[in-house]
Amino acid sequence: MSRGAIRFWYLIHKWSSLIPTLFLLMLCITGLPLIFHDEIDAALGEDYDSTLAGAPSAQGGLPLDTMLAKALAERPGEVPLFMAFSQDSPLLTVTTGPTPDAPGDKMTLLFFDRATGESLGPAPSGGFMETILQLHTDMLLGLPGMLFLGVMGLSFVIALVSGTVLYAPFMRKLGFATLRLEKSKRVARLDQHNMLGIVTLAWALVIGLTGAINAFADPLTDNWRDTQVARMTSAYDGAAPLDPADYGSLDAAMASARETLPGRNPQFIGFPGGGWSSAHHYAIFFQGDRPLTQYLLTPALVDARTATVTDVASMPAINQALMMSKPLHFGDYAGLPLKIVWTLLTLAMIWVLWTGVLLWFRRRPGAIDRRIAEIRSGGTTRAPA
Amino acid sequence: MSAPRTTRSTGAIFAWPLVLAALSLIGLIAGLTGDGARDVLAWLLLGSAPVTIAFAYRRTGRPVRPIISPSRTKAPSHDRA
Repeated sequence: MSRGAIRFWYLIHKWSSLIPTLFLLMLCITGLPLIFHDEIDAALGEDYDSTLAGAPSAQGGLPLDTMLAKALAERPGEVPLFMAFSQDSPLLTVTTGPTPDAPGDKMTLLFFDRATGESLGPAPSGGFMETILQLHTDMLLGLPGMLFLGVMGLSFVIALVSGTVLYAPFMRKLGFATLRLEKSKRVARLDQHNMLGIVTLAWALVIGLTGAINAFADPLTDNWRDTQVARMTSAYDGAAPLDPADYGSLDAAMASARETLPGRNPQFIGFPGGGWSSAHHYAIFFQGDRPLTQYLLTPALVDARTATVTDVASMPAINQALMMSKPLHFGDYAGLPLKIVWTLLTLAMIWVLWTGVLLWFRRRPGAIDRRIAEIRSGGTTRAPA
Repeated sequence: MSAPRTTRSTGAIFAWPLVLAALSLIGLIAGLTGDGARDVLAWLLLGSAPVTIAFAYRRTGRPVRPIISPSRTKAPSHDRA
């Protein structure tokens, strides 16, 4: 590789990693507890999935209309926004808000036992894990913070690609996984940075890309609603938004949707006028019926007044990628051993970031030419005293 | 490990990294596409990365927390490689 090419990739690697480094370190550190959110929630007694007995709320229990009436009785004057189901327990949640298009901070999440109809109260909010998740998602800054972290994630992907390009000239004369820890600190850091970076490369690429996709979830969902949902419900164009007082039976809507998509279970219902539906429909999101497709949701748009199915359609590829991105990013889909591997890889990533910062900060005096010579020689060039 | 005298080809440089990347990606997808045996496959395949890291540090004959102490770098080498 020519000096010019190395210089080009070195500059790309330097800036694409230096700019997001602080944020990436924050993401790694807040990400560590998030890997174990199930276990931590259970330890804090906030894991209803494992304590409630009965049929999963996605399959049966008391009528949905009964559950919704209980929720609205707890929040007088509010309207329903979402109803979500558990595949493992009778836990059922209802989200309410002052208006159908209420923003997230005006919403209230209520927990119920669909087997007994018992109210479990509002979701615990402001807890430790919720704050960690907020920091990890948007640094408590809402959508701008989320998009910013998404851009940092994309920059991280560029850093991974450019780092891999520079790996080739550096390793010309070195065996795979060479660690010269007994040499100078700088060579030790270079070797560790390269070895840990290349070994964790595929995982890091997946984490970076899925994290960036998750960061753009809100615009992607808005886009889906404004294009595909708008097309599916074009017959309703011009009709005034459905008044919450005119919402029809949820159970009738669910029955029609199940008839259209037999053998599947619902994950959640988006109510009319919200971010996940049209102004006139219950959007009932069904999981796929196979292990892989359980993450891919198919919405059935059911007229909220008449309970007839207007249309059913898979979501566009980018929105499906978004749904697959969540488990792939958090590593919580294959039991505790995978979470432990995820933790080890995250620790390795923290060390890659940290050695990278030190390599930049504690660099020998002398400009970029010395960096290039270092990469070309595999770190054996000695700086003149 | 001592450095080879010869210059390695790009293919040789990326041979092990490609194997590890393939194992990791297959592991990630295996865990996602099913439970039971596929989960175990995911642990083993994605676990190849931390295991490789552990071997790389072990091979240097030092504990897995390297550098930091400058006095250590002056100690007599007990390098096994």
